[in-house]
Amino acid sequence: MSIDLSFFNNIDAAMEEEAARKEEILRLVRDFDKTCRTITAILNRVHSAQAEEVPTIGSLAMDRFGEVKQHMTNLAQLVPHQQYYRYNELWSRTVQNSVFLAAFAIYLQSEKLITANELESLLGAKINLNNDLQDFHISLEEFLHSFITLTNELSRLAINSVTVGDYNRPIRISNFVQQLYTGFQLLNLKNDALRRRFDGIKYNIKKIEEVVYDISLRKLSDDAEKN
Amino acid sequence: MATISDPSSDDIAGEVSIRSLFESFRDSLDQHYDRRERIVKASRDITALSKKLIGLAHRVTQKPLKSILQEANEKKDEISQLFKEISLELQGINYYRYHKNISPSIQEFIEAISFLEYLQNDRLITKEEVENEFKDETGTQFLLITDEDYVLGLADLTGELMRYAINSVGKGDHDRAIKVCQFLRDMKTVHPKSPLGRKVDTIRQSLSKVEDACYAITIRGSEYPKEFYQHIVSEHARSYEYVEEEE
Repeated sequence: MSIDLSFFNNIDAAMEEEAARKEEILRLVRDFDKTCRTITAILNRVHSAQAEEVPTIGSLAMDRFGEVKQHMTNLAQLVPHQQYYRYNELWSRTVQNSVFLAAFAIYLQSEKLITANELESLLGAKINLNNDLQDFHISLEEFLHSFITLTNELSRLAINSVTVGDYNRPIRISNFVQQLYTGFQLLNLKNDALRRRFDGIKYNIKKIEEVVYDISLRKLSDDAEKN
Repeated sequence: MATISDPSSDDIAGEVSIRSLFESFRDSLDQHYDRRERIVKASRDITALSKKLIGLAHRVTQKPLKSILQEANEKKDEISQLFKEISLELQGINYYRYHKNISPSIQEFIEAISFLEYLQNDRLITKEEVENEFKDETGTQFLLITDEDYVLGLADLTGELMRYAINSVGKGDHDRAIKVCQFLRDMKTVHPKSPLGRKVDTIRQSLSKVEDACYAITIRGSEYPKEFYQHIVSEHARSYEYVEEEE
């Protein structure tokens, strides 16, 4: 036979090894997802909470990030040097979700956007801010995607805070989401997933503005009373 | 916008910090998008050149192999140079980050050089020999070749071998066609099944087309005058080429 068989005899073993690594990563990702669900459940309470309880809920969620950190460390150990993007798809959604949860918790606590430093210390991984990291990290795209999810969640909160009688929160949310939107407009997005989701922010803004409009019309917020 | 009251100083501080955060993102994102664009462009150029190289190799049924190989070497050098230039963008972690952008061109190139190797030496190029094409003067490999790239490149090779076999029949070189047929059978045997299943199908199709052609020349060869069935087979070959273009 005019074919050198040695490569083909080895390739099956190599592929099995690769499949095993992926399976192991997916197992970790499933555990990670469980933790994310727990944190989501905590944060969900915010939609029916009184105004003064909201920061506490944020803090309660933050307390669970020790687990998230552990999952990130476990994942990092499975990724060979410089092969982050070979497996990135396996955990990207989960990491994105955990970044969003962190950003949401911080927002509820302080009504500020999570900073890169805060996120890095909560998740125990670096963000690839300068395209220079060679090992496991949080990608810039994951960071940005989570901001878009945040605007979506905040539009929900704007509506629900009216239901519990907090008429001031939607106005603050509106300001904040506008700022985020302005931030995104500074980026030169290409035609990819980030771009498509960015285009969706305006619908969230519209929803929030409608709530603000209803509140202003009825002079329900403290600010409106002042004027 | 909800500018019901004057924004507090806290608000302004928040706005400034969000702005500066996004400004810091912008440069990194631009860098990433620009790099990806350069890689995609190089990949397209290399794919086009590799297709020309394959076209050149197919002319072996009309021209002496020696002159074809000479011309092929020049084209190969040109492609190597492009790979070498773009490899600078694929260092370290960036290799897998942009692998899906460069990979089509690597596979196309493997298809071309493996075809040339078959024409020249009647054998399947090894992964090591493929890797040698990606080495500079000092012997350092400037671009990594994954097993998948190699295996998928070879799957595409079977399509070229099929065309080559049919063309050979058209030229009356039946022995050649039967030899290619046997080689394709060997390839089908060794080619890994998972997770590249869809490509294994290509091999199976190529092989069965060649087997049909070999069958036709064997059984009809005894019945028709030579020129007559050469015509039939070349008509046959042309219909396969249409199918290929449609794909």
